[in-house]
Amino acid sequence: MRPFSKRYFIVCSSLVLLLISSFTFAADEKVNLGRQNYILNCQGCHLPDASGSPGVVPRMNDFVGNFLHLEGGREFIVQVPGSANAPIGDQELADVLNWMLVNFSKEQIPVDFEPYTGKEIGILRDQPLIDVNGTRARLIERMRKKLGIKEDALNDV
Amino acid sequence: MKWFDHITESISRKVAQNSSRRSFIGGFGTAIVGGAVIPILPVARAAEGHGGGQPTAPIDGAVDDPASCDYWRNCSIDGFLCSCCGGTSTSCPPGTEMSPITWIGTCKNPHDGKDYIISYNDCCGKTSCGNCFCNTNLLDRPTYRPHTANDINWCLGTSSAAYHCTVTLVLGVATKKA
Amino acid sequence: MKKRFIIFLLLCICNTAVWSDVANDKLGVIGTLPLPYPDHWVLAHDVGFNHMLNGKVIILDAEQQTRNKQYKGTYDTSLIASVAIAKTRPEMYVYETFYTRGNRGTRTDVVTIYDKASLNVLDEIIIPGGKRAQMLPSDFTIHLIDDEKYLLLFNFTPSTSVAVVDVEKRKMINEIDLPSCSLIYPTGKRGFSSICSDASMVSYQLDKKGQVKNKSKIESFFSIDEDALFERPVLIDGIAYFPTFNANLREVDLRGDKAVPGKSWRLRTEEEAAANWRPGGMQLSGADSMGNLYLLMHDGGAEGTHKYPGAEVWVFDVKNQKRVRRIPLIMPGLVVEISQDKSPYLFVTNVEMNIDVYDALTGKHIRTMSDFGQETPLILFSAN
Repeated sequence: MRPFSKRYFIVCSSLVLLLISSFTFAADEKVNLGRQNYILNCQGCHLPDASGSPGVVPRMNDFVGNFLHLEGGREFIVQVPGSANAPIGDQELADVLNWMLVNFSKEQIPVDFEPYTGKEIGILRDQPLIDVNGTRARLIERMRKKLGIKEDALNDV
Repeated sequence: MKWFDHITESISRKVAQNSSRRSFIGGFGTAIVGGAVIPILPVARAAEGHGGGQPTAPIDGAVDDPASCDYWRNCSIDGFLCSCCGGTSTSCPPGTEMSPITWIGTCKNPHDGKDYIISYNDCCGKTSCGNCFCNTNLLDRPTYRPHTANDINWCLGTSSAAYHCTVTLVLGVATKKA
Repeated sequence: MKKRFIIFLLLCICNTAVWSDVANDKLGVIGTLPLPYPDHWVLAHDVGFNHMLNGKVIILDAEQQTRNKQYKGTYDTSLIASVAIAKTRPEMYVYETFYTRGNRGTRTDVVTIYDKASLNVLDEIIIPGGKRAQMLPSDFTIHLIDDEKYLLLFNFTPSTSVAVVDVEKRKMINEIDLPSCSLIYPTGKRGFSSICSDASMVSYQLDKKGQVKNKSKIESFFSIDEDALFERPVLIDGIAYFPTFNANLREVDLRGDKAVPGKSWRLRTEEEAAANWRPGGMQLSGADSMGNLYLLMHDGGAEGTHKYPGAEVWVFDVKNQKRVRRIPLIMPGLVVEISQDKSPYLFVTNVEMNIDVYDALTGKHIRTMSDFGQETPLILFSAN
């Protein structure tokens, strides 16, 4: 058996630490970019706290995660034109949507939520949504029935 | 650019012009000067290959003057500068309402070379201020992509859509794309 | 004695001539305009950028030499209104916004209908919701379709929708929500297309009640960042010709049920590209009645110059994809419009906000219309 090598231990643990920190750094970058993409592409209408504008722009704060509980809801979050048409790539859109859910609607996210991936975004973007208001209205109705949520986060004050 | 000489010539030799018309034209004239001499580009776009090779901005007074179309934050603005209207570049004049809904762009600060995210909120509810009209259009695009379109009246979500002037709020530093 | 009598008679006659009364005038005489408007009349929409509540359309006769003879009449427009002028009806439509206390209070959006001859208000149609899009320029925020039986109106809250108005019934009959698409490009028999925020398009065909009969999505066909289409195409024989930021021209066929993007061709030579000649301006494009596209062009263009005034107007025969002439302007222009007769006038709102009038075929400058009470005439309409 080889005697325990201090040098070996240091090198290995340094590599592990480097690996962990690079993941963390990459994760931090994703968070920063997610936040920045929210600011550049979403905040102008949905506002810095995602509270929207009554009657005019939907509120996402403490709400948007509800869609994830409904059939078609996960897709809707991606396919709504504000998301699907954002001038950012598929992975970036996945990152900003994940960031947004955690940052604004953590309480509503289902426990088994799988974060969006770039691949999934790409597939969903290829199926553009034309009847946006109708789709949202049907989901809100389902939300009311299945989750007992009374508000629609658009016309509420 | 003969037409450019022509326009600056014609603007400077005008006499007894209607002041509102002069301010409107001045907005274009200054923008032309700004655009030709001091291009201000967001780094994120430059990294994608847009406008690479543009010269860096020479630092001069106008670039730091919030009442100038060449103020570094005004790289893509369409309207009256609130600094000339009883407000500042970051606050609305008395009695107006700041629109919560807005459009957001990026401008490079020539002092530190960083790209800042700028929110161009309108101040609304009163008739046009009429002073310091500017129309710069870096990365502006037509109204079919609204969140990069500055020709839209962004007095939305306010009790009145009457447009008065525009502020330029810094929201943060734009980081490079991953 | 005879001499004195003659002198007396002459004095009497002179006195009569000097002292006879000015004839009485009739009260309440109001002018009217001839119909159809002569071809060289132009309607200048002054949006009143410095006091948007008080915009107006000023009707001018470009063949007259003096301001007083040029000036024909006006009608008011409120808060960057959208204006449409019918060709087959003696009517003009103004989609505008009012508040009960001027710039504040309760909002009402209306379509005000003006009579072309009397410039009186014929009627108004209230459009509920307070969603009217306010943006410059506003050519494609309002459009008549199907032999001018329906009027389409663009709304922006920032959600977008198109309201359908039955012109004869004077009623809004439908509102169509759009999936983040904007503006109104007339398409097919009774329909429209809009450009979406991902550079795709949607097209809708309507039935006689203004309901959507069919809708189509057209895949993205250009890059908004690299070479954006200007939102102001020129419509010639049912085909939309969109100039682009980098001086290309993209054809989109709007004759069928849905928009069909077609070929793209270059507007400039290699040399002109090296000098960065690009389209730019406010109302930067127009067409005559002979299949020619007119485009305001500036050199030294770059990212951000797409609203720069143009030093020249370039004229293209769109069927043969050929430039037929370049018209240097005496003063850079922001707005172009062309009369629709066979000896067309080219109208250009220049950077001094006056209207330069040119012979569109020879490029000769004819006159400049100025000092007609205008401030920001950023949209021009030919009379016919």
